[in-house]
Amino acid sequence: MGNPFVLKRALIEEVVEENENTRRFLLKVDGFSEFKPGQFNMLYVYAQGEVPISISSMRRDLIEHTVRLVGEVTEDLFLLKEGDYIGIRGPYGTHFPVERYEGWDIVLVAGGLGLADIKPVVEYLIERREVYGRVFLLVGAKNPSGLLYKGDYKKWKEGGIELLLTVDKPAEGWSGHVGVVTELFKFVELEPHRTVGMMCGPEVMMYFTTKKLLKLGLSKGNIYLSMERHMKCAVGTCGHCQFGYTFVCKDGPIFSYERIKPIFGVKEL
Amino acid sequence: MLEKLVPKEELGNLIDLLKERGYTVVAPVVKDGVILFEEVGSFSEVARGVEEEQEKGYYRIKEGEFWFGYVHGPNSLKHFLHPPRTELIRIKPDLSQETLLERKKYAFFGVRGCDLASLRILDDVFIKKNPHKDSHYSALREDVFTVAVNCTHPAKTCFCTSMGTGPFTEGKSDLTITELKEAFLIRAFTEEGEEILEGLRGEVPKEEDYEEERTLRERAVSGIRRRVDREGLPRKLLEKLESPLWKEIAKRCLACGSCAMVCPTCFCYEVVDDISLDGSESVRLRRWDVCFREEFSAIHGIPLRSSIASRYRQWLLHKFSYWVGQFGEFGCVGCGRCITWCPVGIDITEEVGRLLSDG
Ligand SMILES: Cc1cc2nc3c(=O)[nH]c(=O)nc-3n(C[C@H](O)[C@H](O)[C@H](O)COP(=O)(O)OP(=O)(O)OC[C@H]3O[C@@H](n4cnc5c(N)ncnc54)[C@H](O)[C@@H]3O)c2cc1C
Ligand code: SF4
Ligand code: FES
Repeated sequence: MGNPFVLKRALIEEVVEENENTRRFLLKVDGFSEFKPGQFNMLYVYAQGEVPISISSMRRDLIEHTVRLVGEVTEDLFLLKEGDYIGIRGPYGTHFPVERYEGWDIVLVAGGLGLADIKPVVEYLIERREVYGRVFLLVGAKNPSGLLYKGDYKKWKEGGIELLLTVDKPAEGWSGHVGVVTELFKFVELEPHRTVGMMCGPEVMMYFTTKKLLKLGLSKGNIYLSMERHMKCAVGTCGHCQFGYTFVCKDGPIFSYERIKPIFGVKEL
Repeated sequence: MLEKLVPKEELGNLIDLLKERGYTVVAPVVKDGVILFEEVGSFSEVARGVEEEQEKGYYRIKEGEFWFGYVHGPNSLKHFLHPPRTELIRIKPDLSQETLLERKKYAFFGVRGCDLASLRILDDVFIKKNPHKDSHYSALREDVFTVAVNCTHPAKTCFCTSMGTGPFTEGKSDLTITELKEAFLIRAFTEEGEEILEGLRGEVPKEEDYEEERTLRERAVSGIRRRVDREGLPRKLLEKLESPLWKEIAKRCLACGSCAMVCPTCFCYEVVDDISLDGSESVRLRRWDVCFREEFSAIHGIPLRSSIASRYRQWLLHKFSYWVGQFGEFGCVGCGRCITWCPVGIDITEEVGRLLSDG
């Protein structure tokens, strides 16, 4: 039986600055397993520790992660440069089940850094654009600089994604929508019986988005959320990521709303 | 199944037979005024002629007539199979890695029905119901041999009958012992158990021995007074997530985590890097952690369960509700350790009862 904590070596091939505290790390990893949109990896910085980070692109030549600097491990990760190595293990967790919804319309909703988890879905859909109906992508951020992957938007629109953006607080030069992400639904026409919703972002944002989607007539089983909890192991044994009767690392992070309805939105759970 | 009536003084040979087969024998001993599972070299070290008094926040041992008239103290088998500290992997700055798996061949002597149940539950967590098998737990678990003792003197804190885990152990271990007044009635349930029992002097039990065993069993069962009503419990508790009782319990709970430490199924851990002084190697360790710690649930520095009420709710619901969703079984074995070792005497069976009746 293999040790589940063994890491692969990942060469930091490229670092791209997205904004003042968010960077994309492009990693070269030999023999990295197949992965699906919504899955995550554990990234290890020598002697500092491991953090769970979503895979933020479907590209296979390099493994892409988008990381926000928040605490101990991410701080040390940000000290590393192109040519340095980190450890990686994964992929872990459930994925957004896009393959089950061919022929359907798709609404993707992302808040802030949550777009990192949604971007692989966007890329997956663009690759197979003809087998899906309309695809909406609703993105919200605190301010314009919080909108990630700006360089990709043109490509996404050309790929048949109906992209809608909003910010809570505008800055100079911003002429787009101002307000919370759920307000963007007024620009979206849905056929609820053949539409699936997928989202990632802060829990409050997902709470209101779910409410909105239900109100628009989507069924509980066709709404998918990406949950976040403290994680230490990613292999179902440290207990930290428990979310009620689930483990976010192995039963999630992607859950249908139906699966978590009794526990979702309960404070401090 | 092989069964034998073994004279009391013969039992010491059992430990020797296990040692001859290469087992590291772990058995209850008396240490610092409590019963503890520890590695033993010979039968003379095993706790004998001891009884316990256990109540909410109370534990004392005293002399007793029976050899095994006690149940258990604060530690449990998880201390051996999922130790408080385990080395997971060693890593060098160039990220080369080495795994030093600690292998053991444990024989657990004197374990109870609740202890056996806790092994099955930990097996689910680390191996059986986990797609990522835990090599470290497995290396300690694979060769385990169990010698169980049927409880004749349950503690006042026991509620194994409610959880369906005790007090009898037939069919759940390699060997099972019932202590009669003058002898031991021993049964073997596995091939290796039979081989070992063959090696012990004894005779065929008589009707009067079975009669005595029945009386002792009835007395044991009727001595267990604490109850948890398992019927529909996971769902019923899920309906109590917003109960005002959580806040009430939180006024008493110190969030010390003693209950989780002594719980034979609580498995949570944190992972830390232990770096050598010269920085040339980092040893990744797992260390027990408890959900009562505020930082346990922190995401980017902000605790998710900041109130004690939410942390007590997490602990109680995990045992009696969430666990069933996660693993198909309750996470509580009814051993009562958490009741005895809670410094403020919070009794989980009482709290479940109150939540169901008026929470
Ligand atoms: C499934 C999943 C996907 C994620 N994807 C991304 C991503 O794509 N980009 C990104 O920047 N962040 C992501 N996060 C959050 C990221 O894991 C945390 O920001 C990171 O662990 C913080 O680590 P730190 O040591 O810098 O912070 P500290 O606050 O110092 O954290 C200390 C430790 O606590 C734990 N921890 C703290 N915050 C979190 C958290 N939010 N989630 C899980 N464990 C935490 C980790 O074990 C961490 O090492 C994801 C989290 C999860 C659960
Ligand atoms: S219930 Fe008792 S033992 Fe458990 S954390 Fe609270 S005070 Fe400590
Ligand atoms: S992260 Fe350890 S159990 Fe999920």
